[in-house]
Amino acid sequence: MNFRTLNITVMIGLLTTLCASNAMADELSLELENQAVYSTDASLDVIDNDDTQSTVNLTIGYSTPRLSEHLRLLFSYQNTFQQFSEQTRLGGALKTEWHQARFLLGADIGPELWGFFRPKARIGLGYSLQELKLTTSDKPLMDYAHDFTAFGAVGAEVVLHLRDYTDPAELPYLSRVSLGLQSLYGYSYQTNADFDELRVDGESLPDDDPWRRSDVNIGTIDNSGMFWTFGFMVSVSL
Amino acid sequence: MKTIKSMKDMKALQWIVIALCAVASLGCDVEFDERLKDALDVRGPYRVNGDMVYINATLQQFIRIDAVRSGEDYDLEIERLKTGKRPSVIKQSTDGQKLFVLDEEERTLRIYDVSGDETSVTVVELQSAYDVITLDPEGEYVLLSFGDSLNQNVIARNLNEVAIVSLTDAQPDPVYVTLASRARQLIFAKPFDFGGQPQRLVAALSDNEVSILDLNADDEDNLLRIVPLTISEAEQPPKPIQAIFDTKIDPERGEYINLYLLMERASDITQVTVQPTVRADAVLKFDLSVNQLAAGSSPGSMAMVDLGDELGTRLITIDRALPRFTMMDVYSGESATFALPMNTPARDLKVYNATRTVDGQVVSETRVLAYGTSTLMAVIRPATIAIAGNEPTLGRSVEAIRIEAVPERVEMESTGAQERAVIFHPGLKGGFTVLNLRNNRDIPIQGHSLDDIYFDGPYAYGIFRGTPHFGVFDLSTGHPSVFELPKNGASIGVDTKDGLIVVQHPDRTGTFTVFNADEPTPQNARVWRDVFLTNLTNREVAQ
Repeated sequence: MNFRTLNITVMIGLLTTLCASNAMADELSLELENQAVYSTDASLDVIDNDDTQSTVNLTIGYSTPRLSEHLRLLFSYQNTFQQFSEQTRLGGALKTEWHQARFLLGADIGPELWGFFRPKARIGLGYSLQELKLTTSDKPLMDYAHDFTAFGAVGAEVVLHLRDYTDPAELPYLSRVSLGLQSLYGYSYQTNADFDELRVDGESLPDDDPWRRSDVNIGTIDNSGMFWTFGFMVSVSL
Repeated sequence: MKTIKSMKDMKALQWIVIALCAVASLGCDVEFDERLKDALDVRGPYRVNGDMVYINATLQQFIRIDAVRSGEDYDLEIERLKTGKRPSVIKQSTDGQKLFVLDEEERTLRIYDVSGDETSVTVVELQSAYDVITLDPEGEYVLLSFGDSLNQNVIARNLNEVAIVSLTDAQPDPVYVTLASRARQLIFAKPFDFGGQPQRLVAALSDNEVSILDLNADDEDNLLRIVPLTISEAEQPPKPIQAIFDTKIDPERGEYINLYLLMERASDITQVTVQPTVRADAVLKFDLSVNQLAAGSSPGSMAMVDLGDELGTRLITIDRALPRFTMMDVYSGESATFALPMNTPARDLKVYNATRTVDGQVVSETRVLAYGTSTLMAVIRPATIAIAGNEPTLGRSVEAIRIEAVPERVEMESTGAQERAVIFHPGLKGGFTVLNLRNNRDIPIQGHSLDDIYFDGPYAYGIFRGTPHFGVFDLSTGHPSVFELPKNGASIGVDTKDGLIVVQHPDRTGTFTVFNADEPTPQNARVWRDVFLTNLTNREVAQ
């Protein structure tokens, strides 16, 4: 499965979950954000031209007063924009193409003040899948890294409850919807990604290839760093 | 309106905010590593005891690659050390055990000692960013000077300056000498004794003068001596183009050594005699005297041959314009010119020792190989030529060898019996020639030309040009065995200790194939790609 197929599959999954969960959740939310990760490690210079990686965040949240009035449980899918850019290094001797997808479980906590403002703190942990394609003078090499990731962030959301502007009797569904903008600032930790088994896709070599070929090891990539997000959210009260 | 109802929630929020602010304060911007934008510049290979050494000037790394056996399989052990910020000139010592790297930006000379399993490095701080390294064949000194290159980054530098680095010191402290004019070439004399005192001299050839550096001098007057090449100021100073020291001292003839100088467009050789001063009150250590030896009409290159006690030392020069050579007896000053059995002038001379059997005994004989741009080469046997006598008989004192194609370069066998040479031919399919220097028999190998050759005892290993194959040649018969490569090769080495053949392919990022030397087939090989990119993400290496 390539990264494009993975993106589509995850998005369909999240929307299906949102629809299917209506009957059992008290409030269900969907967030779409842009996340900028400031990873300053020198290892990233091989795959990125600056210290900022742009990531699309798609998060589904669930909250219920039975647990806590201020708590929201979250599942996030993140995908980096870097997958669209190929970087050239060492005067063209080397080209890199890097993709990352992260799957995170988390929670945020924070009270809603004055009916529209919610300061919050968010934590989460999950799994990161990274793919690196390396092209030199021969057939491209690929390797995948599987890593643990965790984050903590603080921020706030501004919410517009449509129930304040609609008549529930006339528009019962619309009055249960809230729209919002949110921003978070935090730190994301990730174990170093090992790219020590870069190899040619087996299909691109002849079946009767007589040569034993060693993997290429270009080292580890450290993706930890501060991040900032900004995005939209929509929530439905059940 | 909702309010904060739970103090627990509030407390948790408070702690998370404090923690994140603390972490955020640690974050700082890091500059992009601009080296990654530069073109990949890897110099080498320098072959050392079966290992291959490279200088990655872009990533500022010294890389030593050692192919080893790992059970039935093979592995590459890669050692990486730091170089300076801008490695400029690299030279390997004659014995191959040291690599000298000048750094233009840091003004240092790094000496990598590769004689052991682990490389050690000595950093010598320098006054200037020199760009020429001259190595003492005896391994005692390194001289650093300036060449012709124009360096736009330089604000000011003394082009006549020479740095003398003594390698016998654990932490060398260079001595600086300023010559009267820029040294174009620095020629070391072999060590010799005057009155039991060891001496080391260097000839510095400049555009219009020759200086002699006394590396053992105690004072400035003796450190640098200018050779008087002209007798009056009205005379145009000659330009030296080649120098050879003769440090063999014959006690019967006196205690002196000679320096032979070939000047541009001259018709003679300048003989500079260096001897200990005879005056007791002299300030200077040596007396210098100059003599001229007739060297034919237009000598282009010279070689010195030592023919033993009976015949002494002779000089041979080749003519630039005609296929002929001149031989000089340096003791008597007599010289004679002889024709070479070639149809174009010779361009290069190679002196070697060949063995031959006389009355059942193997005797060594000094010979000279002369070659140029034609398919005819000549082997001169100087010991059989009487300078004052008649012209030598063709086929006995001078023998012609007709080869299949024009020589591109000639490499003498550097190991084993040292009685063979390989003649490289230009073009893709010019083939090559194995020349038996003992019996002057040439073995033409038809096929692809050679790009690289490595001698190892009775065998030579060669990389063919333009085809993914390498060859193992039995030098006694010339029989080639051809083996397959995964792609075209560029250079080849043999790790005798592990019994492995290491082939480097031409990719800039470093691709290698390691073979079992006993049976170099694909089944007994392993291929490594992009070796110079190993740990590229973690590219900072130890000192």
